[in-house]
Amino acid sequence: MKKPKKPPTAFEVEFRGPGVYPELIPLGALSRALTAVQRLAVGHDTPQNDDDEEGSEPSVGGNVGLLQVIRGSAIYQIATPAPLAVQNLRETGDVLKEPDSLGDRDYILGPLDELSSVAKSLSAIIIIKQPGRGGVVLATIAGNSYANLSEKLLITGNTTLFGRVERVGGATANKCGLRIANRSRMLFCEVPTQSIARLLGEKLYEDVAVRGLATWIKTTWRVVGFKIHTVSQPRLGSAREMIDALRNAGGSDWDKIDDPEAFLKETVGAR
Amino acid sequence: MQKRCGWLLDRLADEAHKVFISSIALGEILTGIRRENHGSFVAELQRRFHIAEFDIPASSLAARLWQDIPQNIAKEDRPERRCLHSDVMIVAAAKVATCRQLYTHEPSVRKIAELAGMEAPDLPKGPHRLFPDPATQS
Repeated sequence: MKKPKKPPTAFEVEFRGPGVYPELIPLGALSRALTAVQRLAVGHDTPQNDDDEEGSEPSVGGNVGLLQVIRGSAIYQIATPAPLAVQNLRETGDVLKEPDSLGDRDYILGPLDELSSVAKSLSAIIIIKQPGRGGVVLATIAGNSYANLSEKLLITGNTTLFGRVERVGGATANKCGLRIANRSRMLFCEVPTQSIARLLGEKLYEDVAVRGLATWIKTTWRVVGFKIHTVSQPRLGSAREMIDALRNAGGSDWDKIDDPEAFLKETVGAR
Repeated sequence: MQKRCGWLLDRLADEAHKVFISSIALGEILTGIRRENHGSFVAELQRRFHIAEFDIPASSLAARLWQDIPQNIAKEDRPERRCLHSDVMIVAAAKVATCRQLYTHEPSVRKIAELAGMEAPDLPKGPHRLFPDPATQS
């Protein structure tokens, strides 16, 4: 059988720093970095990836593959059939320069966080560029790139989210996959304690309200991170039971007000 | 109106909907309840309703709605300013909490909810069952 022809290099990933050579980069760090680059190159979160683990590999059609390593620095030449790979990587570079241009491409954030963390651990910068000497730089990621980006782009605050628990657990940290209205992908939330994880486990495939610390993209108000502090599961119950319970809990105090509508008008204004 | 609210709750309970109450509206309800009962009332309400909080995204949406009101709701159709303010906050909290429908008998609230992209049906005009629960009919 004829050997397939070597595909052309689509782009290169260079690890640049003092004493950075291919043999000195731990395989784990390399794997994390190239997987993150692959996610950036593929350029979107497809709904069919929903059932995969967070940050899982894209389908074969969008794969990027390692062609060869140039030892001079640590340059990894990459081939891919994904037609928009270079454009997607260039857009990543644009977002690093101009965070407000992120728009709805929040898939960029996770891989950038990962690449920043790898760059920091290697004391290097990661340069994604077009092939060849003098190839145009598409994106440069340093150890502080994600921190700088998140400082300009993200807002945090307490809130409550409502959704269906679809996953709980994790090998390295407890997480909860929450299916939320108006989002095509699950939101993977941090679960800080075993007791909350167990409680969420009991609510698998049920609707819950989770209160905690949210991270929003400031330009779109899309939630990109959430740390669950408490879990609740309100149930309306029957109307009769609900009215009785609310009256017994203090709601019957309204009976002592002669004209509730006039009282409300006085308190909150005339409608 | 109390009767119509009862019919609505009856229907929502029967159809097992997720029902939200805005933290702003909750504050209004609490004005008629003695302070010592506030905690137990809120706890009971939380067992049954989702509380739509007026959080940071809701404050941004409320500001946008507030800015859109002059072009969309005639001055004579608007309630008193402080009331309009709380109506805008109620709608924004509901929208951000992903509510699709907001039930109200107030036309101005309905318009604000529609501005926010929600359906805003009126309260039901009658019971949805032939033999309704007497507890909701008072």
